[in-house]
Amino acid sequence: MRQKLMILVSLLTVFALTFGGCAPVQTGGAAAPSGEQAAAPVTVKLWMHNHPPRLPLDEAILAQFQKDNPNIKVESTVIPDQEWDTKLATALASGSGPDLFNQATFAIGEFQKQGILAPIDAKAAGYADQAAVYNAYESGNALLAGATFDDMLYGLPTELSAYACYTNDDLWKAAGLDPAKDFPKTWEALKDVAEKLTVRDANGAITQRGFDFKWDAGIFMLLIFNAMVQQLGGNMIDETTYTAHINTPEVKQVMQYYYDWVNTWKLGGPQYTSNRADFLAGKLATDCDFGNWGAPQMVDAKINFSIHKQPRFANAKNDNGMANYAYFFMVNSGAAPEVQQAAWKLASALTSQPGEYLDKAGLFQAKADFVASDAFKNNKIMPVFLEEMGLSTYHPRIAGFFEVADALMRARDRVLNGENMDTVLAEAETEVNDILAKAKPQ
Amino acid sequence: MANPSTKGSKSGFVARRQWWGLFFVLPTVVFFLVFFLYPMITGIYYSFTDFTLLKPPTWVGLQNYQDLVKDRLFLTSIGVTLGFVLGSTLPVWIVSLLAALLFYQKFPARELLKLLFFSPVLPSLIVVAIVWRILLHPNGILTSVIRLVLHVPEINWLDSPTLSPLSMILINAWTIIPFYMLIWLAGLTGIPQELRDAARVDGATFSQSFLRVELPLLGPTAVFIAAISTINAFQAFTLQYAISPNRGGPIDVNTTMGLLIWKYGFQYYRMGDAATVSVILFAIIMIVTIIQLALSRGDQYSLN
Repeated sequence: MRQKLMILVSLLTVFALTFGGCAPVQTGGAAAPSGEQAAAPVTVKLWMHNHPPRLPLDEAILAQFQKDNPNIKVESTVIPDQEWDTKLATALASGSGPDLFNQATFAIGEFQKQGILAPIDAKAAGYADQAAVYNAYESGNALLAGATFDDMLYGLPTELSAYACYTNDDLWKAAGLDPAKDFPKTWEALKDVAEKLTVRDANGAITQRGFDFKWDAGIFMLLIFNAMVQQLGGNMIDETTYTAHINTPEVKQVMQYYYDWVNTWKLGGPQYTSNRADFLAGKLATDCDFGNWGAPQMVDAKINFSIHKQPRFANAKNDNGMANYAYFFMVNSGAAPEVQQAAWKLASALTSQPGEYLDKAGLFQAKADFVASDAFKNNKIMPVFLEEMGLSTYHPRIAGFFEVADALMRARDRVLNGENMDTVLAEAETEVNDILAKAKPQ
Repeated sequence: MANPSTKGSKSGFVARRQWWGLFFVLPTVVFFLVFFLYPMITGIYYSFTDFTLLKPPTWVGLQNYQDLVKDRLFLTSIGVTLGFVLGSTLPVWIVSLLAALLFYQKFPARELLKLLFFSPVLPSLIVVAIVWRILLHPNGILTSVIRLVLHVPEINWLDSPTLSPLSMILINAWTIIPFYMLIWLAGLTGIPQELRDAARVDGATFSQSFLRVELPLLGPTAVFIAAISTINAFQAFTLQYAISPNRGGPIDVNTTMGLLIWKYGFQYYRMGDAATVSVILFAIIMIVTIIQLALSRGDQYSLN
């Protein structure tokens, strides 16, 4: 009898230990009531991805914010980039996710579909209303479109980005070229310039590339490849209807250019070291996949650089650059209403010093008054980026973004490895349409 | 006839000993339940749900299993995994056994060479991956060596759909052969020298002695190595994650089932599908292991 009792007690202990810590997953909750000050103490859990130049600025603002708002305590965590998506998703699944987090627009479609995001509480953020938020930003309707769904804004931007072309001016001059005069306006002309900038050793192996595309992650198919398709008047992914248009003449033209770049002209390819690392190491003369945030890194690497607009196709129908993308502060809809208010207030504070963030961290927050300032106008590189952003649109903000991106990359690699382009593009269109059909919000 | 008072104190002693036994195994039992059994049961449950991680799971029954049968990526991953298993088992068993036979012989500097041979086992797989990414650059050291014979400008070790999976197999073999060599060596050391001497006295050559005397007695060692190496190969993830282009590329030729589980769960927000793949992988490993153990129950020789 005692033995049976001891076994029962042990099993109950084990059961309690096993299941006692389970917490329900946070689901979408109500938006915070507008404009009410949270008098009771609240704690805001803040998660940021790791961008080292930004951290000292964040810490200073957080300290001042908590001093100015003694009833709001901020628990701030910086997550390494490689772990960001996994940690955020598992934390949200376990109900221990952050209240305020700094997420990229790549994942916003999925988060929006799942009801994770709270719409902005403009008053808590210090604005009269949502329209005032858009007005506070340069080309607010366009640049904040990354976090806008059905006319509702779901974030405040920590950095707005597009890619422009950086040249390593020393390497250009060594090749007898002047970046100011010789930078190509078209992709067709880029090929000739890249050949002059490419250096090969005695065995014919490339030791310095003149230019190369960004091969190493699927998202660049939607940031770069699709933007090139848009220049020609096409668009691979329709975000509104969740449909794919891949087996088109525009895609074929861009895909042929990629194929020739690797196999015909042999000017680069996926087998080489990542562009950004090679550019900073002085082994790549031109890089067109850095944002304005890359400039401090080039200063640190002592690269003598200049900035240029992206090339366009000679037969382009649209004058767009590469796709815009951004990181926004987003608020967890599962947080308590008073925590959501405090989170929006904190997000506003963290986006209130655009000059400092651009100067010291290379992050562009596009506040209208800052863009109108002399400091911005005198900035060496920002006018080029702002112009490119104004001409371009955001990447498709779809649920299933990463899966679609990987499917497109697979298609690209199949073509690069010699498979028939028509067959590959037709199969890719079917595959991506299947993914979109499953991912589409109901 | 038993004395009732003695009988009562004896059962009390046994009960106390059982209580203490239970108490001391309790941490291990709790650990097993929390970190093995509970995740396993939860994973099986999630395989019957539509679960994105961002919202609570929704029961869908066998839908995930039905969808996976037609999922091109899943079917590709099975092929990739089987290829990796084949490349990471039989050749590894043979090479590690040959290495063990070599190091079983006495020769000058044997211990130093054994230590150097074993060194690839020591660093973590991530460190191994970083080092090999550099070595396998198209214009890297390995290409420079091959170039002495083949006169090619570059070799796409990691970006060629043909060479990339072979590169993974070779790197994996480089890290695990020394470990299995040690296990074979332990097995060889456990065979009494008298048996070898007796075989030689009877006129057996070295190979006859090995094949007829030593190899049968290495049966239990072989079963252990076969089982462990197969299970590890089926669970391949780290090398493919760290080295292959875009985690499993090019064209998914390195997307093993382990890597697919990660992609589905943490990249594509399809945790229900990830759980389904993990259940299927578990079932495959179980079946293969049972078959291996069943086959090894044939003529087993033992020193006991």
